[in-house]
Amino acid sequence: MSRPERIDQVIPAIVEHDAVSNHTFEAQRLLREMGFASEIYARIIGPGCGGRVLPIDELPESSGRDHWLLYQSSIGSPAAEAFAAHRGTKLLDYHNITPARLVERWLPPLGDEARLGRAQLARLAPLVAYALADSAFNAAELGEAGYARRRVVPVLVDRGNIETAPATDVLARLEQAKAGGGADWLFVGQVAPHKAQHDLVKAFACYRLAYDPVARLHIVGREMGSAYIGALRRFVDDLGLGSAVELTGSVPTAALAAHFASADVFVCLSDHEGFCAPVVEAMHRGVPVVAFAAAALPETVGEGGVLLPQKAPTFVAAAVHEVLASAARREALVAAGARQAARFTLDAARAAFRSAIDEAVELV
Amino acid sequence: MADEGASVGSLLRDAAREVERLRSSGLVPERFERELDARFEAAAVRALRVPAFAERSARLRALARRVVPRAARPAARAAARAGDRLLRGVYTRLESTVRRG
Repeated sequence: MSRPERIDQVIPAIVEHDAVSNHTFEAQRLLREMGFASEIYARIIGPGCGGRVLPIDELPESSGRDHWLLYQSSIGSPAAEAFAAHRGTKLLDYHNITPARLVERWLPPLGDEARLGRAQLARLAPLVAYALADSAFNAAELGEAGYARRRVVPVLVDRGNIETAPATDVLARLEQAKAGGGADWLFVGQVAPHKAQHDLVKAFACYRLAYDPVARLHIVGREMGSAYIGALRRFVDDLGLGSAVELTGSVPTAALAAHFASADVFVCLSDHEGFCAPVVEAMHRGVPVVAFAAAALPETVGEGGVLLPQKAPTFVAAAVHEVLASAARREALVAAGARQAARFTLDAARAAFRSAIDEAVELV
Repeated sequence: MADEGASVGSLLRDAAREVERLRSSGLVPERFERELDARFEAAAVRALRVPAFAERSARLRALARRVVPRAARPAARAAARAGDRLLRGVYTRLESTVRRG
């Protein structure tokens, strides 16, 4: 057993309102609480993160076995090369990498980065002493990539996303619209092709046609590139849903809380998620969850929501209707969601993270 | 959910029956779904036809990496995105004007 003095983290990019970035900040707090010196080094540092994160060029050389690095892996990046070249003992935390085929049509460079990320993941396997994954789905991919020592540690969710009170002005606006009738659908996540917001719009169009002509859909999250959101806006306008579908972009935490407070149902039709923290946030905040059973979603949703075996628009619309039409079903789902969310509390994830680091120190 | 799997299972069965009802009543015909697919695909083709210099030109990105100092890259990236949005806006307006004749 050799306990290091410091465990620094390396991450390709760090930005506000991002699950992997939030996880990295929380991991830093934990590592420091555990007595390690710990800094975060990133290749791209987003607005609002300066001062808390250092450029990767400033990553100090290892002085030996007392300096470990923890790499946050979610995309291909030159940061992985800097991590690989470092002499310190290496840990890796895997948040999954979106398959290139889901994004390259819309954003070819991102497709390239995704392919690079998977290649780097395989190349790093023999160099990494111990790996963490935020779902069993991700841990299985690590196993396939050759990572022998690995352990599931759920995402360290941002406590602010769960506990912050709703912004009163945003809530008032949403409640005013609700007073006119109609259900509020919500999805939170980057506006990106693999999150399939276009499928959400299709299902929502069917729902309005079949059940609720004044329903609203709120799509909260920053855009990934301009082509996909451009297509989504054109699609919404073409369907005449411009006043019913709201694309908010990235919003402050209190505004996000207002959206959760006002939502009748959280609908996720993503084709790929490595964990999907907003699902857990929805369950924490008492919003019933309906999700397409893709990638890690069956694990994150568990028995706390409705997992759809397919996402044909009419089927999704009918499933949402079944949730909202019966108060008993809705209440049962909210209760089940609360039970499932309790598995992913920040305290539980912190305990799992500490335990994994202790085990790494023991084994390495 | 209460009675867990059984309740979710019955909800999914009810949803499947609802789909049958919506189809047979003609309220949401199958062709409506096909039309949704076609309309999104048309929107996608148009959106992807719009030049996206900041995102799609690998040569431009490679050139930028050679000439823009590392420290200036965040600002340069933001400027490129703003320029990209502007160009796309101009292109879209021109295209719709031309299409309208």
